[in-house]
Amino acid sequence: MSGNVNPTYYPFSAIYGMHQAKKALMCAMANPGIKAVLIRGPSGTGKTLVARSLGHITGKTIVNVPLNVTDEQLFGCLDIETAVKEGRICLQEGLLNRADGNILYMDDINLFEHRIITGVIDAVLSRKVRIERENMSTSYDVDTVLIATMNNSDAYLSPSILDHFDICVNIDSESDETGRTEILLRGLEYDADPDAFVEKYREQDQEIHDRIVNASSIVEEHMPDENLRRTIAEVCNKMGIDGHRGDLTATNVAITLAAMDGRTDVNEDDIVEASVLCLNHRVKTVRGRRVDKQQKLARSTVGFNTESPAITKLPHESIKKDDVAPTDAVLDAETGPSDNKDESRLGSKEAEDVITKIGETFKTIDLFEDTEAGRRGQSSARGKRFQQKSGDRAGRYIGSRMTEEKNPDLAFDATVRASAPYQIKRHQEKDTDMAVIIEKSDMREKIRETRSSSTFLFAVDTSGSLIIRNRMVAVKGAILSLLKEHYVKKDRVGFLTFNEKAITMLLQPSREVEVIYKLLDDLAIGRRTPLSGALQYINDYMSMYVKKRPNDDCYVVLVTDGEANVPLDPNDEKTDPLKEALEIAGKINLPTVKWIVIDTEKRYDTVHHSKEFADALHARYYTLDDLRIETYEEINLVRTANAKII
Amino acid sequence: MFFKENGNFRLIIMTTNTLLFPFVRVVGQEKMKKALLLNIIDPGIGGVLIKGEKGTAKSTSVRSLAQILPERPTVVGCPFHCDPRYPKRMCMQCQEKVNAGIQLESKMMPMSVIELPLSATEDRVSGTLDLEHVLKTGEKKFEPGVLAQANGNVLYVDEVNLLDDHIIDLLLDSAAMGVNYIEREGVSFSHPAKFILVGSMNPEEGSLRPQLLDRFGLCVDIEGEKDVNVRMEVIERRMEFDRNPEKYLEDCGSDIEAMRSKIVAARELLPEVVMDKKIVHDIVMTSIHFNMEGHRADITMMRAAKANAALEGRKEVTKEDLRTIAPLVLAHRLKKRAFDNVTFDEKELDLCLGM
Repeated sequence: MSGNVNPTYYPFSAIYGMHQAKKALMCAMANPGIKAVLIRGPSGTGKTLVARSLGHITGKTIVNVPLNVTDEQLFGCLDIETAVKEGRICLQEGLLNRADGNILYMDDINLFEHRIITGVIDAVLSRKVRIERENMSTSYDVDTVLIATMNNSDAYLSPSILDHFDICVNIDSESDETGRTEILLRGLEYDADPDAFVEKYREQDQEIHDRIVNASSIVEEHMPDENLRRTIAEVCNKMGIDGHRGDLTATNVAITLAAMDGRTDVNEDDIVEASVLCLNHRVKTVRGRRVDKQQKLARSTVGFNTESPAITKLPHESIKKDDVAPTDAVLDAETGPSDNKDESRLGSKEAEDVITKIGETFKTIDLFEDTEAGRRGQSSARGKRFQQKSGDRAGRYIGSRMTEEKNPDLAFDATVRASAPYQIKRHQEKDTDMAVIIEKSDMREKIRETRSSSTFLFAVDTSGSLIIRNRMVAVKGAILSLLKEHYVKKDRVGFLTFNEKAITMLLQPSREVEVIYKLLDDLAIGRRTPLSGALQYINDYMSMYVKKRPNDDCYVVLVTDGEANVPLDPNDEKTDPLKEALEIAGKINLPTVKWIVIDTEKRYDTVHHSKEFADALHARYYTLDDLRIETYEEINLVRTANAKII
Repeated sequence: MFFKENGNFRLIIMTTNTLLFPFVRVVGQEKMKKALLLNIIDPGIGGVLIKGEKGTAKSTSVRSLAQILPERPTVVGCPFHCDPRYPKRMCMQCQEKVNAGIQLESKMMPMSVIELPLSATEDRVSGTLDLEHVLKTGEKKFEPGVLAQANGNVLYVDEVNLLDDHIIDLLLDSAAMGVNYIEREGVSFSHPAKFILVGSMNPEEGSLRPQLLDRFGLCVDIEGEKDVNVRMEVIERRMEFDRNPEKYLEDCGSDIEAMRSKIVAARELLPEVVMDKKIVHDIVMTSIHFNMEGHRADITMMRAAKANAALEGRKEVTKEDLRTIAPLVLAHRLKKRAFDNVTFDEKELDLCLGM
């Protein structure tokens, strides 16, 4: 035990609850075949704590991978000092070097760049790092265990990365009173006298340490019998697990769990527990819902169902909870939307007299449905959609490359590294006071990456026709849902209303989204719709805006019933305002702006002028009723139907 | 880990030779294995792309390919592993020596699997000129990169769809020409870079650029085994291997040896394999039937069919050979409109071949 590094660590056994996470980590320590553990849960539940105290118990150091890590830091890079002084090429150790024999820890793994995650995981699993960078060509062994955490279990991590994690545990914050009190008390006790606190738990910690050591010697010898292999293969098959990693780790973990109790025979409890730990995150998900019928199947395969005493007798509530959690999730998912539906209906009823009340949010449009990103799955639609290589020296420095430019965005570290091996030679040839002689061929430029942001401009028709039908509530609901679904940090949202009195930019596109809520609650209402004017205004505004922010994805969401009845010149009585507006719509040409038209007419109404506008603007078209449809499948149906009409 | 030799930095790899799960013990995945073997027999086929869901032994199979790769003669001390039998394909230094009448010393060396890490930088991939040496002696000296190491070997790119664009361009250029050209800092240099490009990817992570896709001679789509008994077999073998890799490898040593000699035999047989005009006609008809653009598909089919015959120890290409390899060649070359989910129809192939 390495108590001397930090004598006042929080003892592993003093951590209240989190039995599943603790068990998973102990398994990873006991069985060298388990190399990666993912802990998912909200912040402040002690994810980091449990990982750190694990280090103390096993005498290993935790090597933390910071979020802004570069390839050089991670894999290692040229040692500048030896290169400059001695002209030798030598590897300066990277984080992975240091993790050898220790524990590698990645907080918020879902926020890392995909490439970095892949690199780390591949190194951990293959126990080998290969470097082909900047004059270096080498490889080294690394034997480590990766512990990663994710703050939000909804956050997205690609299935293939998830699959590389042997074990994945979900932890919830302790919700019952006694638990929370206990945690607080222990915290206080620890703060008051850390040494005494550690002493109090020393024995228990030692016990855990012994259990791990003991288990690892059992695991070493143990070979799964046919029965175990068959059960696990059947479970995986019935759960529809892709690939074979799940099978392998589930077997491994089941053996380790048994070994942890000092047994060599693996019983059914072990298998159930192992499949909870290893297979839950491998089950295919469909739009955020777990496909769980299979899970029940799996349980019946092992000889259990949810009510089985075997599961209730599992050590702690958290396990049971998690065991049942997916089922709950499905229930939630199933009941959730229908609740919403009722509420939104209720909302619109109440709204008969309270016009400005915001409607309940409901299912919303998917802006990315037809884009390639959307096709690749919901994954890319969120989070990653905004990643792009940046050419204008803005954004995060993610790597360097050789440059041919005259005036490059110089990556100093890489340039100095590139020049380092030649320093001795160059100093012999040139007589100079410079410490480091850099030549053109050493220049490296930065590769940067930005997350481009999006701008949403809502243009809402606040004419009387909307109010008469009491559609405003629904409109507001739609707007908020859309923002909820698609707004990510750094996005800008603007808000414009139009009626006969005025076309008002209530909110210039900005990051102050909260303002929208207030604006929505307090809208000025007019009677007639100057659609031509509004379109003209938006066109002028957006063409300027696009110049200002060329990298943004802009969306204009036009919410209207399409009843244009005020021409550009209010006194002009000859022009047909509808025709005029359509003409203007057809002329609008803003290549980077995508239009979305939300029709506030009821679907069964016969006149759909908004539809015509949508066509003229090449916009995606929805009716408010479309947005209310609860299931994704149904939305799709309607959408395909719409597509056909278009 | 490095020492300086003739002004060139050489490295000593400081890893232990990682023990890899043996190729001959991978359960199932026959298509993938076949595609890999065909390429070893005839590197002219143009590589393999392995597409498949996670955890289907993609990387395991490719990495362990090294165990069964045959030996071939190489020039001693040449960083590009030139083959002394073919002077025209040699690097500049070896050619100069040949022209000067120097007898090249050669040695049998096993082919190897060179892996390109995703984090590789451009200069290490293509190699850089050793400027120091150039300045000092006026002689061009090349610091070989990954492409140099890959010459005559297998170049493996895991998660090929995640590779940086400019690295992919480098790979494409050399794969197409068999030569790596370095044009930088006013000095130009080139060396042979003929390699078997093997890529693997998980389609869930995004797709591959069509230009790169077409470059791969063969493409296999693989999925995990769904049969319980097969799954059990997978668990058993892997567990046994993990427990004592050395022993496991030793136990299947004879199988590995058998596979290697089979490959060697096939490689020797390949030049003698003949193809009937009728089969050539069938190939052309298949290509036309499936609307293949360009002639790469035809040539690849021909080569792959020959290699398949050689693998099975025959000197005559049969229709069955063509039937076996056609899906590997055609599936990824089918014309697709955006978002169409075109899959290769094996029945159509049967009809087309009249089988």
